[in-house]
Amino acid sequence: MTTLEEARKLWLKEQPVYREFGIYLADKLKAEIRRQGILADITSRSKDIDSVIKKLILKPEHTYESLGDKTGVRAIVRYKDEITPVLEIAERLFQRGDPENTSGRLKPNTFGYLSVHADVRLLAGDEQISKFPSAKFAAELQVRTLAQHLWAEMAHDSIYKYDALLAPLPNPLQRRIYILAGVVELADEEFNQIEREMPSVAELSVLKSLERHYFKLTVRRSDPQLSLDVIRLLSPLYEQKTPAQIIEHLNDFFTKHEDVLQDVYGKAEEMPDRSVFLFQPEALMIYDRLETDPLSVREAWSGHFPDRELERMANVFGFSFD
Amino acid sequence: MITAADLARLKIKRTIFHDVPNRPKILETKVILADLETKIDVGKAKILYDRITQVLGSKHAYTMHFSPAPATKVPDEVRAFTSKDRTTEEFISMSRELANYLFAQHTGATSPGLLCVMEVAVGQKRGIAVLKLERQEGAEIKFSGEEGKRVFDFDVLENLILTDKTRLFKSALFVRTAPGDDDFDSHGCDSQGPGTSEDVARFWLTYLGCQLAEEPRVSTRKWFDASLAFANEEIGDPVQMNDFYEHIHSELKSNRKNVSPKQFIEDYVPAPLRVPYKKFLEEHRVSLQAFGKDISEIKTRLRKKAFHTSHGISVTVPEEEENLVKVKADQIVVHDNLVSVDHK
Repeated sequence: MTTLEEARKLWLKEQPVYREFGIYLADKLKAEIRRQGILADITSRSKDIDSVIKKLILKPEHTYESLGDKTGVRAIVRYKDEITPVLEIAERLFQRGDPENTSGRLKPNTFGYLSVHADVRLLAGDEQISKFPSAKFAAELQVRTLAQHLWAEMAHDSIYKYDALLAPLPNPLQRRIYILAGVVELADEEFNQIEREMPSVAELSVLKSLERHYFKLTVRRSDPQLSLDVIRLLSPLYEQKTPAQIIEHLNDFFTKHEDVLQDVYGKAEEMPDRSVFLFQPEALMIYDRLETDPLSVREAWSGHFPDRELERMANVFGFSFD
Repeated sequence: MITAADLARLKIKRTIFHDVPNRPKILETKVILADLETKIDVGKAKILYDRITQVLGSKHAYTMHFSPAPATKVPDEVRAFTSKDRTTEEFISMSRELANYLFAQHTGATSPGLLCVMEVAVGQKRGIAVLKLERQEGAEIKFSGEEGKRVFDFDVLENLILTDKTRLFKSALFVRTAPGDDDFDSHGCDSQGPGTSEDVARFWLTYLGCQLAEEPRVSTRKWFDASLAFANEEIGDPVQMNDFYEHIHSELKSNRKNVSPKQFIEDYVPAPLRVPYKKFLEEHRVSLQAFGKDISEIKTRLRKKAFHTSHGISVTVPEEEENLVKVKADQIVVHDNLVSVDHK
């Protein structure tokens, strides 16, 4: 058992290693989440000295050793439905404790911080286990949506954190804060629901499927309007295929060409003179059609989008128009 | 064979340029060799990468392999250099040899040019790419640095490449696939195509110490057979089938010295048949790469015999099917099935 002074000294000494531990966990998680085609912002941080000491003062039941969140890894996803897959990935990659959903702490008529937390440690077979032994090194994994993150950021160091803090406020102000909490939570639910229902529209279902592959290659955001225009333009080139058949075909195509795509996107990140269509999910569709029937793509493309952009796309995938 | 996927994965690791003039009999010229590699940033590498792809992925690129009796030592240099990881000095030295061999092949009639040699990688595979960028006689090529540290200024090249109307540079790419002497995927291209064995257009292949992966007579016969089979087996509409036959025949009878199946698809194959035809050729192991046209093995099958009657009736028959037409004193009998009637 360490005193506060000893904890202070220890943390000043150990913090750099914990920081390294957090980065290692985040990188590992990031790579696998990307492989699954989920767009997520993954960060890590280790507590600064003030946070460690404050926590030990406020929570005397904890010791320096028992503080589980000296290092944290945070994954922010877009939709609530993506939280479970991220937790499942963490379970495969690490020793993961049972996830705790902070919403479980809230009564129906209260609001507060929403996120899913779980302790993670390295597996026995991990290549860095000798550097970060699981008996000592643990981190707190937080998985939350963008909407939950918005509330958490606004609540940090402010009165929005717990509803108990609102008591001194006049009723109308308290009511506005409750409404605001409800709006954010509702927005989160609605984004999720809309995302679930979207695939019933033909070109959107193709776009959603393309996005799953695209986010395995990059975290760059794309322009959905442009995506839909290109999908509408190229879909007729799939002869009589239904959207479901096009999706299945593109899934196969991605599997067969994943190595090439990883290489191309790896190179393209730094490339100044690349096609604007490369960092768009429908790039996969363009690649597929260029390989199958380049002439039909050129005929369809011409007059709708700049020819030179298509040639740039062709070149990057190893095709020539000459 | 180098595929689009290989070109997509190609990375340029080192680049160097040498100035290789022509060799008129009455004037002594000499090759100007760079002493240092030209450092290129991502943007410049992209320019070179695009050119390699545009040329070696083009309809006119051909598959080749090292000749058993090469006219130059280019194959030896390529084999040795790609056999293991090499230093910059070794790269420079190899590239200078390639420039010297090219200069030795030049005559007074050859276009002078800049030889760009690149060390490349395709995934884990080592390779060498060579581009000959032709320049006008007398055009100044800028090297900077003193003797022993001479290096080519890429900005000049950028102008040269970007303003050049000729998109089909003489070029070659060798990618080592295994440790053996002949374990390479190699592609070449030049504006004149691969040519036939008697062609002067073979200058580039000769310099590279290579020959076409398949004899032109074999490539021509394979393409002809597969195309006829496609027409017979896959085209249901008799008019479309007849058109397709006509296009095959006119392609083979034209004055062009090369056949590019990709170009043939673009020019003559109707849109709904393009993908099936391409697939059919691939399934029948007929390359889509360009090949030198040599009809020696199919000459008789291209000939047609025409019978004309006193009333202006004509019957045309492929020479090898001549036995289907029986000519008697007062009648001509065609032993075949009618598939279509044209009204002209």
